[in-house]
Amino acid sequence: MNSVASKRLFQEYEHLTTDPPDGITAGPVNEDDLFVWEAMIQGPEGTPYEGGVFPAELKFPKDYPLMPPTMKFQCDLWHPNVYPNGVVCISILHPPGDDPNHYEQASERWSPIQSVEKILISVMSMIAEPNDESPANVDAARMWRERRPEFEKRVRLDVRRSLGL
Amino acid sequence: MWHSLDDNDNAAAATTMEISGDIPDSTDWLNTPLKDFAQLENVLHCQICKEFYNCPMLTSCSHSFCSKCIRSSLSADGRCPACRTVDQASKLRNNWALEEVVATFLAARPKAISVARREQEQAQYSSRPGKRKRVVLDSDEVEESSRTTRSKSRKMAASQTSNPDVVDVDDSEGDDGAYEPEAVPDDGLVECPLGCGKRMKVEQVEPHLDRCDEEKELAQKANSRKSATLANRTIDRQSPRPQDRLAELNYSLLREQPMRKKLEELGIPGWGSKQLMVRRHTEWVNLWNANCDSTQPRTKRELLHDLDSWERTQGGKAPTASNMSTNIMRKDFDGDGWANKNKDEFSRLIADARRKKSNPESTPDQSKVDTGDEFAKPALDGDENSSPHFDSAGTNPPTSQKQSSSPYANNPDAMASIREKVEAANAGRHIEPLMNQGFENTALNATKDSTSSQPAHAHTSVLNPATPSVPGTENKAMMSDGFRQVREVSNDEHAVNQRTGSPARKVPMFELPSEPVNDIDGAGDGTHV
Repeated sequence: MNSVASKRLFQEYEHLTTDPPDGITAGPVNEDDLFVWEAMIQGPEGTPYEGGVFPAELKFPKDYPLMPPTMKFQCDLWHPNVYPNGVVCISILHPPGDDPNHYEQASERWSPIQSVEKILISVMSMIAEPNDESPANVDAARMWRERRPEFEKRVRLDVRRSLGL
Repeated sequence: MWHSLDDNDNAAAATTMEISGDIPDSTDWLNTPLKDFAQLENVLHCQICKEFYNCPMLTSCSHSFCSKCIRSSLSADGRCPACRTVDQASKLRNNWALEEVVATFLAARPKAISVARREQEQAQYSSRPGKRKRVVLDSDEVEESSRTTRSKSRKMAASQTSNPDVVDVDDSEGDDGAYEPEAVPDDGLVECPLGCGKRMKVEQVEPHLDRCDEEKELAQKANSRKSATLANRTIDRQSPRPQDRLAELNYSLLREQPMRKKLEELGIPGWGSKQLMVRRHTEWVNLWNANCDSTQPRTKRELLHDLDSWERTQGGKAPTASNMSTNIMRKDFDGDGWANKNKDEFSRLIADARRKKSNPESTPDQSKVDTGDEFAKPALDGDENSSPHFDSAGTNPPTSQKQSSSPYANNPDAMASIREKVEAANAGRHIEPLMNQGFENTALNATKDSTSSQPAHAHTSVLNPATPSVPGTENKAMMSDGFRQVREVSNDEHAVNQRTGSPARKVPMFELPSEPVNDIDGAGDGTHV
């Protein structure tokens, strides 16, 4: 199958392999299907997530890059902007056009000039700096806002557990 | 553009090439002395497809994208992907200057990258990189390629400054007649006196004369490309292209039947729901209009081919989600379940392979394996009672036993050999428990020694009080060919748990386990012998 989408995904894959950004690895789960990727994101330093490595799955639509992929963490990630089931809620992953929630700048949303690399970098900075205006995980957001030490303790515990310590 | 045409024509070939890693990428430059070229190459890429601009178009907001890319993007979103200004496809204008820059860069790239790489290699192997560098740069080939690039780009720059018509000729619709594509650029350069057609500065003529012949070939290639481009552009101007462009339809005003008729008038497939037809029409309009923008328009046939590949990937013939997922192995793929399900097939194939191979080892091997037949039941019970882990091992035997009785029942030869082997097993039975225990102990030690490297299931199984299940699993692990010899030594205890009744049965289970289990066995065997 040779389409615009798979060509572009291959380009991005090659680019990410040869020149990966710090703390991020990503690539197709299987090279026969470029539309499902797995990414590993390191917890940013200086945050409770430090030391953790968070695997996530990226699924690309057939009309990529016109439409954004979806991203889902494959591990427990206690974070205001990550749904309890792991789906990431971040503006760069929201399709262009009308904003149903009316809280995002159009300029923050998906556009074909974005890339997997930019998504993953955005997610990494989202992990470091949660946006509690649009919480995906309300409990986590409330804990983050009202009981920060408890939040950080829980995150550290999760990270340790995920590492098998 | 010549290169993009190639891309499209050899779409399939390109894919294979891509997989093998031959596709040009800006990161190619990173490990060479010409690092900055990576950035240069990046800015020559369309931000939508991340490839070199193919017929770049300027938006109203002065951003450039491939014609096809920006047209698709605008029909999806109606905004510039870079700045999100509202824009329309009809307002796009060709960016000829950029197109020529890309074409020139692409022509110069292969040599440049090979030179850069060679220099990098030399720098690595040489103790005095500075000197080697000079040597490389002095070689004719390098000079030649850089010269070509330089003069070509100069020519280009000159023609753009002196003949601004070249740039905007296709945008102006009425006054094209004044344009002369063959006009000699008034750029202060002189032509090669030997008639190779190359233009250069006066002081460059002397060194050039020495290499004129070599350069002629190169220049011819470049010129033919260039003239092809120019010729096509002339043709484009003669045919009033803007009228050729397809207009976008107001789909909401069209009912299904007129829509279908419209598609058929255009010569594209008219089947499917209205929604699908709308998408197909949009795709076709984008393909068609992008082709109108191109300096080297393709035939309608080629465009239809493109539309067909769209149909297969995103349109009505696109694979559904369920179809897609069958092509790849899921991460949580149930390997054991699959092995169970296809056990018969696997064992048949492996047995066939073994038979063909017919190595001397196979005879003792089979006898040992088949001895297991009468001990199958205890082993099975042990499995089921003790370790739920091994449902594959636990569920295997009943089916295999049941089935194994039938395929060989009518085969006297097979039955005879089986009986023979059973007897052989009976003869050696008394040593089995001993060996078994010894084996278990060593295995246990091995696990203690290297717990971290053992997979969890191997660990639990070894510690499991139910002895039969242990060698059973071990057995599975060791049966790969590499461990044939190992099996020779300690095969009696394996035989105990061999629950399969025929030579064909033994194999599938052996293929299942992963490497670490082998390790236990290797360690256990080492002490054993």
